[in-house]
Amino acid sequence: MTQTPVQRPGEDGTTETAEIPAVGTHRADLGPDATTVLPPVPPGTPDDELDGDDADGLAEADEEFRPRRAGWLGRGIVWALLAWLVLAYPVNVFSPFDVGVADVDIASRAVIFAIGGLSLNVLLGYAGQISLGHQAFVGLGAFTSAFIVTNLQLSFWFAVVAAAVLGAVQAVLLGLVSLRLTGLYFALVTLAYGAFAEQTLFGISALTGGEGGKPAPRPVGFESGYSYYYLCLGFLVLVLWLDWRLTRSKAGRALAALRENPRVASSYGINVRSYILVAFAVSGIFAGIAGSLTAHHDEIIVGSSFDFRLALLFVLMTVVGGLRNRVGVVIGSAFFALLEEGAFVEIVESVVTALGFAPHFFQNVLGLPGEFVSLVLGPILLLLTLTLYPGGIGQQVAPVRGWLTGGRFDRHAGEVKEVEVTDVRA
Amino acid sequence: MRSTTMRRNPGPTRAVRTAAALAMAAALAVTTGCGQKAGVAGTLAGSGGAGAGVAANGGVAAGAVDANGMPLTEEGAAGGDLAAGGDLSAGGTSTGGGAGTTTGGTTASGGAGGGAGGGEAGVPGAPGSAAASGPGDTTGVTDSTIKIGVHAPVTGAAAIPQQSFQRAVGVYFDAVNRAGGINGRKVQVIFKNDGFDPNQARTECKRLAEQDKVFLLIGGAGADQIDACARYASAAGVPYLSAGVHETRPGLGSLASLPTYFALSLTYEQQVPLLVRTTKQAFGSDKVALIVADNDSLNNFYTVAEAGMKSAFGANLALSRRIPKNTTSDAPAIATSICQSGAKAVVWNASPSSLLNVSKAMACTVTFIGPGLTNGLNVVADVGCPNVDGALFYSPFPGMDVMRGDGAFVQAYRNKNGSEPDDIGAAMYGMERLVGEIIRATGKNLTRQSFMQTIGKVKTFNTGVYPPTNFKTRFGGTAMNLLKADCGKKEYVTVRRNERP
Amino acid sequence: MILQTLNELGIALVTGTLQGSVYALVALGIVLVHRASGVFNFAQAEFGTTGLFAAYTALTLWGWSYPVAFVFGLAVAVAMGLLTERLVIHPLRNASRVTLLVGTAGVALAAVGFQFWQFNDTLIMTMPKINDGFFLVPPFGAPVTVQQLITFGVLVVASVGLALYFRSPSGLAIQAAQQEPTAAELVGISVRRVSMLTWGIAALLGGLAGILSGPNTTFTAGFLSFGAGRALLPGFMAAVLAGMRSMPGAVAGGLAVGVVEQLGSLTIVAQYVPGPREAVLFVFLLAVLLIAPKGIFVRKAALA
Repeated sequence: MTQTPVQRPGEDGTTETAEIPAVGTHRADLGPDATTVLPPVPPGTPDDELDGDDADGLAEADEEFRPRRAGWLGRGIVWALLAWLVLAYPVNVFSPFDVGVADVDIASRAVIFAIGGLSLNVLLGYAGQISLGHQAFVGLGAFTSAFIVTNLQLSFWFAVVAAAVLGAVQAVLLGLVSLRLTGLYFALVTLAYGAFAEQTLFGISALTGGEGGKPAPRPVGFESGYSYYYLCLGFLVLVLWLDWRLTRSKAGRALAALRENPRVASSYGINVRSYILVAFAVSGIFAGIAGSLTAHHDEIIVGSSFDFRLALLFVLMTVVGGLRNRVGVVIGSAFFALLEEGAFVEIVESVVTALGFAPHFFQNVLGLPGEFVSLVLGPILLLLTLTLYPGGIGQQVAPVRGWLTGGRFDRHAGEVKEVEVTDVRA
Repeated sequence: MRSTTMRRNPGPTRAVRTAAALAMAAALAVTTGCGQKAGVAGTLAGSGGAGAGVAANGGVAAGAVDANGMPLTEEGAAGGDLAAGGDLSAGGTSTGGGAGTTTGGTTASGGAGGGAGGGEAGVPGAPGSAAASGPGDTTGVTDSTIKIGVHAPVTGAAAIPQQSFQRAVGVYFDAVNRAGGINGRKVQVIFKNDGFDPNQARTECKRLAEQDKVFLLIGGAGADQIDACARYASAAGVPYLSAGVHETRPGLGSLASLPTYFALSLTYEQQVPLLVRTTKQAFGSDKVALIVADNDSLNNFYTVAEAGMKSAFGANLALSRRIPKNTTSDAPAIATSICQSGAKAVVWNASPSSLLNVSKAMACTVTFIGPGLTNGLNVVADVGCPNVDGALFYSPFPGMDVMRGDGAFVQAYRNKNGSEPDDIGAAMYGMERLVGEIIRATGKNLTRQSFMQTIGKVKTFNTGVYPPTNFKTRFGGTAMNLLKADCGKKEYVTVRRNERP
Repeated sequence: MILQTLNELGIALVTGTLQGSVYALVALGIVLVHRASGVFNFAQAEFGTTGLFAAYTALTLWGWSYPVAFVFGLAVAVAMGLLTERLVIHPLRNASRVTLLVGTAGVALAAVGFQFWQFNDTLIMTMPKINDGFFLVPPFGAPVTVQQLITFGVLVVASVGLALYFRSPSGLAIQAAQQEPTAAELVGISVRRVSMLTWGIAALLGGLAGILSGPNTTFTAGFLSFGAGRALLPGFMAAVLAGMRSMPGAVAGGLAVGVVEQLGSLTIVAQYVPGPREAVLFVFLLAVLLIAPKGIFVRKAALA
């Protein structure tokens, strides 16, 4: 190990050379508990030179980046396109294809799934608690809302609030259980709870209508598919805002700190238990909202819809979307919703047919009937995400996102080393 | 040393944010300000609007007398007929159709329609004329085509192979179209899978009605799905026909109160006398059992059946219970309870997979007897033999041993699919043929109202596959065919045809 | 009433023990994998259903003889286990355990998807039993099939076999690799091969559970709906009872969970509670985890 000469400004303005031992040298003369030596940082070193990334020692060019005129134009067009895609196309305005009333229901479902995905994201991404029974949270919200509107004859707005509250209560109860268990055992409890909810809770015929289902009429003024879509979008915006506030709040920052280094963070006096319960409560609220919207979207709900398959779908949506990445989770959830409804297959097949391939591409060329594309594609995407692209869709979208918000198009933005589900109490 | 500020990715600058806000504002203004396409308003009002584009409202109002004069309150009594109810138009001559005889074309005209107030009792004369609710709704009908929607379980917990259904749907109408159509119109059938899930069934029916704009809806099988769709269809004013299933659901009311629902064969409750009689004939002095699934739609059936069995068998009704929907783990216990009761015959109304599970788990031998539809399908015989040997199930259509002799059916199936028909094909053929008869009887002036009025006026349609109907009430069945599981042939054979309760 | 309940309790005991042998087989696989990789293997049930579907295909669609179809099913299950290890477990070996759980859930999902795809046309499938014998056991008249007795026998043989195996050199190697991977590598034990061996054995156990329990009912592709699939949650519960580490505990736990689950079928419970079995299992799991999280059927020495 050699010694490295370093130029330092001396006290009187001259530079002097000092022999600094290289990194990794063990200084025995400093005593038995001397630690290895790190190179000192000369005072006055500008921040950019602290970065060890660049090979040639030059700081990265981080002058403030301003897009050119053409860049502004490009960004504006894409923003407008996005706005059109979300706000106008599903309701058949300025739409090249005829989006019928049933098709817009698919779009509504995608929005509802997005809310559900954000709900699980709070649990799985922020608090690191794995929930394999998340469909029970949503289901309880759905049946609560349906019961309140159909049996108690109260307004939808009251029902959705009640569903959110009940969702939070249920989630906090499970959260209390989770405080006593480590992550994997809690996963088992949620699995058992999901089955219990589907068979027992949703099997109480007097409340849930049995196998024939429970009616849940649309709220007044939102009967049409188009207006219901906007209603769902409104709730999604609300949920996104709440999620944003959560991450910015003390609870959110505490959870982030806990994820980084649980022991250090808890030694700072962070009340782990209450923040976890907060995470559960928020997750429950979101799930309750999603449930209520689902109930009134379908207008009739059955307990058997909230089965283990849906639980796995939620996990898929969140993980493939990219944990802790709101945009990714929303896109991932929407994607899986479209996949479930068969819309994805239709879209792909129409594009492929337009390009000249055989129609019914999946069936004829791949031998995979349309209904099963989702069942096959889901796990493939999950395994890809886990092994190759841990940031999920969020990672893929991050460069575009950075660009859209006025920055550079950075290919490596959003890269994540692995899918981190860190139990914050570990 | 350079002094630079350390800023990596600057956040959105003011200019970017303004541009984005302007874009969103513009988009919002456009979407809300310009309003929606014309079709949407029509949908909001609950009608299609093709053709004449009149916002017809065929019988949406529940509880009133509907457009074709049929009274609306018929609380699911077994085979209940028009007691104190309203009347139906006199002078119903049978138009077109096969060997259709008109029976009961006249009834006592008890003044304006029974049921709840309002509305005209059936108006005699040309279909489509002044019904209580206005001019005819011609959604799904053009001068040259009629669009029909069918939903049935292809995936999910039903036992029906997917390929079978896809081959079966449209066989009859294909043949009809080849021969020139019905009254000059070709029939187009759109089929959707309802996944054996009422939720999905309703979604598909909604899509068929509101987006594909079908003229009427047909429910293939699956009581819960039929229930969900029927209720939707009635709210949307779309005629809905299915084989007979249950009559009422607690809390939601009777299917007979739905203004656009018609059952094409006997309901479960109506079949109770048949079941009791058949069981009594074969097992008169033996112990018997009654097993019904615990769907709440079967609550009424259970009550009626238990009463019927008790009065016929007395103490010999050794076991009477409901079983859960999912019998994978309960099957041995259920089978044991049956065997321990000593019953030789079991009157059974539960899903085919439950039947298979329970029969497989039995240590003793019993004969299953029950109302048909799904339990009488050959796939059950195929998988369930030898345990279900000798099982007797009632079905609206005869077994394949008879249907193979129906030349028109076999030919039509071969023409469409290039293969030999199966019993799913027969089931759909029977239903489509019956619906086709009604359409033909309605004549050239085909609207939803005239279609429904024709049912009420003509009442009897005899197609030779399904037993003849009699639409005194919305439950138009009159008889069923008795099928028996023959494990030698691994299919159901016909024992009796058109047996009336 | 009391008499009937006692009668049913007796039946529950017998039926539960027999049903529990399937759960025990699944639990053995779960415990094995957990000791080897620290992973909660969510695909354990799907080893069973995949094996069952493979055996069904061989027997019914290809017309092979029963023993050959049986072995084929087991082979397919083992292949699936090895594939899982290679494609999912090994690349993720340094990831968090929760990530691995999600990975195995993905494998399970893929297996079910594949089953749906291939078996979409035959919606009701049955597999003949090894022996159709059936009798009612006095004094309660509990229904017992010979198939169930065979399953129980296989469980006994498997447990004994595993116990003996773990005393053999390669079994000891597995334990060494589980406990001290670095040290084991140093003495020449290939941790990689040990991992594959473990997953292979677990998949074999799962396959046995599937092919032996499948013939008891009709089945169709689905999530956790029949046979070994339904046994996933009870299997995990049995593994929990075993503290996730004791193999004999897994066997005892499986039988115990089987009996507890049958308590849900008692008339006094089933009358008032919809979905009684799931309710009983949930309450039981909560009770066990909250009261005795380290397991009940665990040897004190194993806890150390």
